[in-house]
Amino acid sequence: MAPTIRNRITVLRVERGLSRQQLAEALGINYQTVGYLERGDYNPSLELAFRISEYFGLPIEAIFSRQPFAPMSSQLYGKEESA
Amino acid sequence: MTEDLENLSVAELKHRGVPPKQILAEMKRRGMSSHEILDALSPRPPISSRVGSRSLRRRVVIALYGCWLVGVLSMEISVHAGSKWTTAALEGLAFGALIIATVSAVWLGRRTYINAPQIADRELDERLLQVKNQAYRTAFQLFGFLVLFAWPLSLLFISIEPGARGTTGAIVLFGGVALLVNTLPTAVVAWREPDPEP
Repeated sequence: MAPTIRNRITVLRVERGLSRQQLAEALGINYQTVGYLERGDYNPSLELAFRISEYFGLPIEAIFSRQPFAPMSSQLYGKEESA
Repeated sequence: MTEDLENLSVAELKHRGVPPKQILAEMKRRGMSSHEILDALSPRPPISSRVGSRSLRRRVVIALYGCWLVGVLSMEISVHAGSKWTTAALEGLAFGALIIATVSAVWLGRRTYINAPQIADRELDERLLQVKNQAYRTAFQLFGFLVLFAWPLSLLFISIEPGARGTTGAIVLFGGVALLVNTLPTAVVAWREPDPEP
C-alpha cells in the first residue's frame, strides 16, 4: 500500500474560491482526480505536485507533507502568541 | 481570404461554411497531427460527462456477458429441440441476445477510456492512465484463468462430438474468448470506477 501523503489542496482551492472543475482545468487533469487528491486517495506524481505548487505559488512542502499538517489557525496564531 | 483563414479556429471555419476539404487542407498547412485533426473535426464531450453511474455500467456489463451466455445456450438447446417452432424461437432468442451483447459492448466502450486507446490516452491524466493499466492487468489475469477452461473444453467438444457439431461448439467457445479479449478491460473499468462526482 502506498504511503499516505497529506496535502492542503482543499484549503488552498477553497481559499481562492475555485471549483474542482476550475482547478482541474488549470492543472490539466480530470476533475475527479482533484477529488481523489483532496481525499488523499491518490498520490500525485512529482511532475503533478510541481504543477500544483506552481499554480498556487507555494513551495511543495507547504502543500504536501508526510506528517499530518497542524491546523493553519494554530500555526498562525500559535506563533504570534509565542512571539 | 487566405489571411482570414489563417486566423480562424476550426469551429469558426465550420461556422463560416468553409468546405471540409479546405478546412482539412488548412489544418494540414498549420502542421496539425492526425489526432489533432480528428479532435478538431469531431470534438467529443469530456470523459466526465460520458461515464454514467456505476450501477448502470455494472448492469450493462452483466447484460453483455449474460446475453452472450443466453445466446450460446439458446443455440445449443435449439439443436436438440423437437419442433420447428421451438427451434425458430430459440434461434430468435439467441440472435436477440447476441445483438444486445453487441450493443452493450459498444455502449460500454463509449463510456470508458479504453475503447480507442490512441485517441483516449490523450484525454487521460496520470490517475486515469493508472486505472487503465490496472484494468488491463486484471483483465489479463481473468482472461488467462478463463482460457485455461475454454481451451480443454473446446478440445473435449471436438473429441466427444466429432464432426460439425463439435466444431461448432468449439468455435462458439472461441467466440466467447474473442469477446473477452475485446471487452474485458473495458468491463473491468466500467465495473470498478465509482460514480462521477457532482
